[in-house]
Amino acid sequence: MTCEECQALATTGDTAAAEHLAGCAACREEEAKTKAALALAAMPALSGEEAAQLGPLAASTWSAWRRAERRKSLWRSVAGLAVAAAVGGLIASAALLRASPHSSAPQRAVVAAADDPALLASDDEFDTSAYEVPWTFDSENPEGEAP
Amino acid sequence: MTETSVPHLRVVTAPSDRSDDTLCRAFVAGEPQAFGELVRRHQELIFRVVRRYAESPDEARDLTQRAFLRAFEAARRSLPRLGRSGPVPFRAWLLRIALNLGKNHLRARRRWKLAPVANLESLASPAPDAADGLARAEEQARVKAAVLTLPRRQREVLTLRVDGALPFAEVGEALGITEGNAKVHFCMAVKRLKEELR
Repeated sequence: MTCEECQALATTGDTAAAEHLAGCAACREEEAKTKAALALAAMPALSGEEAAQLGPLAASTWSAWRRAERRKSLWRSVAGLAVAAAVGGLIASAALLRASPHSSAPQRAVVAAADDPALLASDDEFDTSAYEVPWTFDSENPEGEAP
Repeated sequence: MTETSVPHLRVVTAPSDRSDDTLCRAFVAGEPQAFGELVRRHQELIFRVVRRYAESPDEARDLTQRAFLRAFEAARRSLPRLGRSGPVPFRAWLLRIALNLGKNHLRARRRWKLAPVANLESLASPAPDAADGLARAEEQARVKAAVLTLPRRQREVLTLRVDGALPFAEVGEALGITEGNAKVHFCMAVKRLKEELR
């Protein structure tokens, strides 16, 4: 094993690297640097405050779980009610449309053609005699005042 | 359902020797005590893993709690699909969820980074006799910051190996990679940290 391979594998607990370390001072020095770097990177042991956070964690997590479950079941109920209301509304409006008399027999539109001969004839033979008013003169009431 | 009829978490003093798989299945089948037992079994490991991403013990506790809630949700969703085909990898799920939550928390923290005035003042005027301690603390802070800027996989492997003290086989299982791959990522992470110290 080369020094480079050893330095790469020393941190992984490789047995061949451990054998190489025993006989190579340079690799031992490099491994000490690695250990120092890992010691700096490691988080310190749990403080008293942190350890105290863990005590009630199970109970608080269980409470949070139950709260979330209640919220979910509430939302499910609300969504169920909304769907039921929507379906009910659809059924009711469909029933109302079916019961309505206008809906069963649609009215036919009456369209008269502009060149209908009957219409044209009646226009030509317009009789004005129906609008004529008989005119009589009353000598006693020449102004036409009300008696 | 009334409040009194809801099952409450029973305080169990002695942990049972039931496996994670058994407890997980028991919880999904409706045994609330299994929930507390699983939380107590893994809470310290998860707390140690997520506190690297948290700024305070309170934040670490919240992340731990959220990791458990998501893992139980995943268990409830996945167990009917998994059936009896194999053991439930609850601990691996939990570790992966915790790392993802930590990563997301870190990203959010970087976006809304606040610098407390008290911390700035203490950094600006160190006591002369504390110079060595301060230098070491600064070096430690630099390395810890360097850990958080490592590529995602390297950071995850390093966190599980150093903070969680997990064997490489379990690190690999939690991250869905092989043991050898986990070792390679660890070596690369260590190399980068050493470069940071030079």
